[in-house]
Amino acid sequence: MGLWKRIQNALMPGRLDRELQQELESHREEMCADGVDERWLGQELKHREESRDIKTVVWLDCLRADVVFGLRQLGRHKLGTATAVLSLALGIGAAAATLQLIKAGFWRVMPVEKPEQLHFLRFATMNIDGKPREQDAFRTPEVKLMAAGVAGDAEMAMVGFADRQDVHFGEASRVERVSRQYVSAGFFELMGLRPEMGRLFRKEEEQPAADHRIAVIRGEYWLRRFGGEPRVIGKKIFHDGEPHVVVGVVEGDFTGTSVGNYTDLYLPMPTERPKGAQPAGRLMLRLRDGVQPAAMEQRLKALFPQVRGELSKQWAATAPKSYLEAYLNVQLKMLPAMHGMSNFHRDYRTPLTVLGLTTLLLLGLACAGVANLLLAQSTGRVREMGIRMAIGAGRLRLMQLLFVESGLLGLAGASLGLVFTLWAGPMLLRGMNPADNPVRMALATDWRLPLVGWVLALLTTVACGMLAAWRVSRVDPATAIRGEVSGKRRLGALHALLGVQIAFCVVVCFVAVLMLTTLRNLENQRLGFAVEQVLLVKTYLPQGKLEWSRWQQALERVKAAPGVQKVGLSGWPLQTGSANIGDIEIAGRRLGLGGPFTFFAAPGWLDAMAVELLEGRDFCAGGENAVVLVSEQVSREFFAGKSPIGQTVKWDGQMSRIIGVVRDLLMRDLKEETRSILYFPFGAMSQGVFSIRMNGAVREADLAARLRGMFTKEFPQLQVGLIRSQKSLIDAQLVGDRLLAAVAGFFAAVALVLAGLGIYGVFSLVVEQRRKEIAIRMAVSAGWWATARIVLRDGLGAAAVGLLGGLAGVFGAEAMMRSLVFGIVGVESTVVLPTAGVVLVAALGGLGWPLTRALRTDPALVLRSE
Amino acid sequence: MHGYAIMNAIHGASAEALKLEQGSLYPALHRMEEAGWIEGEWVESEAGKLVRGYAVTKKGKKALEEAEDKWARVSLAVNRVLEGV
Repeated sequence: MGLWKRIQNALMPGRLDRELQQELESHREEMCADGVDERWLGQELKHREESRDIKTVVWLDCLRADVVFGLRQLGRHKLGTATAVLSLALGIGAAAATLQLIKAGFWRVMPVEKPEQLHFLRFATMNIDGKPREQDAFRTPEVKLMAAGVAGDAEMAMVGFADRQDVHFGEASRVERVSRQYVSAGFFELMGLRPEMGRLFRKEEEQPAADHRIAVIRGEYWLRRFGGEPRVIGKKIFHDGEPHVVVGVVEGDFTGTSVGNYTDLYLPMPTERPKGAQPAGRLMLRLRDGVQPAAMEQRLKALFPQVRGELSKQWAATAPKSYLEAYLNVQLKMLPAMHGMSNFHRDYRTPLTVLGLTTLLLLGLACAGVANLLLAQSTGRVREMGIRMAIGAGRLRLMQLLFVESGLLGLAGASLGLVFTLWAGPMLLRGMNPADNPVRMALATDWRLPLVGWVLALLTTVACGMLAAWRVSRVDPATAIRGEVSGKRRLGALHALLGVQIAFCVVVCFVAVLMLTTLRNLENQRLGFAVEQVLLVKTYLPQGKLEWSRWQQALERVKAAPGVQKVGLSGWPLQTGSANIGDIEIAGRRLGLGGPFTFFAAPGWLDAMAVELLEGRDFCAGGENAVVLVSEQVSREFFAGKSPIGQTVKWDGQMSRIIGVVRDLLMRDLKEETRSILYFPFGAMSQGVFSIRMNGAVREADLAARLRGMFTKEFPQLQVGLIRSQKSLIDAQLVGDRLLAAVAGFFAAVALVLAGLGIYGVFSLVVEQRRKEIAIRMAVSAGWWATARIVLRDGLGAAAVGLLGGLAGVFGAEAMMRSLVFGIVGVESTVVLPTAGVVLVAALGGLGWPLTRALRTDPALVLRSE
Repeated sequence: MHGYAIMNAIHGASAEALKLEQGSLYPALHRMEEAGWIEGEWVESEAGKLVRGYAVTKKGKKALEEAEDKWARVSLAVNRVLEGV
């Protein structure tokens, strides 16, 4: 008989058992028929088992039997099994999904030629608040001079900032939102990218005289939008009202240089603009073969301040000192660009680290929970093991049995975890940004990541199985069968695990309380202006400025549109994350960085945005010059709280008289501190944002379409940009916090359930093992409190040890999350007490049932059965 | 030949000298089957019952010859020793 047949017999022994049985049975029948004494057949079971061992692979047969028994055993403890499997699945799935996200965001190498040669530059400077910050935006003249400085050793290209833009293909009414990025014409050559069709931008197209109205689209966008239609080449794509001819499609695997975003449309970046600020973007450079990155970094570090010194000569004499210092005092560094370059790394490093660590904590918690359950179950099965040993099972055989059971648990948890990973990865990705600006990343199905979690879970369960098995192997059958196993000594490991579990739970709950409190603080943040029912319509002129009178006409037309209640006009919207400052002189102080924000508002904007006017008046409806409104912070900061009406403010050398004071508002983002704001009258401008208060009856999309049509028809020189609601700008800021709060809240709920179940498991066992003692105590008339104390003392003791252990972790978690929380200072009692509270409630919840059982013990019944 | 018949044959051939525990035949048969010396097959007995019959294979015959040789040598050696005593 071959090995295969024996393996088959081991795995599916039914047929073999039947045949062996039948063969002996027919022998017995013939013996009986011949009148031979049946006893001559001998020990039938022994012979059959001997034959069975010959016809199967013995260890495999044992393993199968253990698996079957293990499954049956797990089926018997449905609650425990389900908890263990689900918690492991959740722990593994969440950890693997987070790792998958971290991998896609931080470790994915761009599919370009020799990516290790690519680098990008970043420099430390001051932001408009006068605080240190890192920046990676370079202007074209800077890049031109720097490229000339390192010519021969490195090549440079500029990559603009990816942005969501509305474009159309000839029909102005059918706009679609795409991710657009300006790149210098040499970008594709620098990256070593090839066209899938048509051609890409050429380096010679960088010349100022070149026709820049061409475009390249991404392969996947071409397939999605045009179904891979070859005639897309030559099509005109309208962006900023200008037609751009599609000249090529870039190869499909390349999703762009910005992590978290897929660029659909590439436009050539002009090297210089005739007027105004020069184009800005990130600077990508490719080192030539043999050039050492460290040496190149040193050269660029020396070169950049020189370049800036050269370029600042024209305006250095007139600029405020703080501006000039911030401009010249720059610390450059060169970073590898093989993983892409974008703010994703900066914005998501901490949240993803916190998420990653929380998931690992959850995995640890799940493992500790499973360990607890297995240990508790094995302790409860000491008598069964004693019986098994008494009828001849070896210690190794028993150990294998427990190993198999724990392995099965690990396998089931890990397998379900893989399914959870597949679901959770894209779900987390969707939650990271608002729906109209999704984070897009290639979440590669890399089985190494879930495998790590899987191996971890398996190792945990097997390790726990080993501990349980080792304990079982030390059982003395005689004492075990009598049920005389000392409970207290053997429960030490369970108590320790329980403490670990509660400590993990405290940290996970603390993270959740921090995130939920932060979200609540942000949602309750007083903004100082209307958010609901406000639609923002961005309009701009591709070139030049529009006279105030025309803006005023546009205001009137918008106001007349059905569904519009009030309308205001400003230079840019509130709460977009950016703000402007200027060369300001106020109360005798000349301010640059850290000075007041400047803002342009047309008459009526205050009313439309419900910004409260505290003192003085709004701008005249007809328009006026040399006047300014200030926020109340200006009074506090510059006029010692006295009324500033009638005082003057100098901006770029022009004097303006303060005519009113308005309530403070949050201009830039939800987390900013109150800043001084100067509101200047909206005049001849190249762009304006209409802030429209809608009446409840109108739908946002209908009004947007109506206004777009109106502008195209009546103000053709004005391009209509993005139309968004003010609320969407707020929501966009909250999306990360909401995701973190939701995930952390969910994890905390799971952690609490696991901790509660852990306590329940252990103390059910305590009550079971000490029921004789409880019965005796009750029989000698000890009060209910004495009985309850047996359970409560140990239970609350373990909870207290866990809480103390967890509190140490809380300080670590708080330090790590400091940049993510808002409105909470340090480890406050407002976050620690709720955390301790919920964990205690979970602990008491877990103790409830064992306690009830202990109190309901009938001494007579227990003592009689003993 | 099936198990019961084999047992009877041994019984008869040894003039009832070899009277074994009958069930122990089966592990021996299965070991030989595993070694490829015999082949088992479910067949109908003379009494019309389904029994597992065994037939010696070529490999089995060869093994038997070797075993007989070995036995002959061993018994010869033992006899000589006994005769010499």
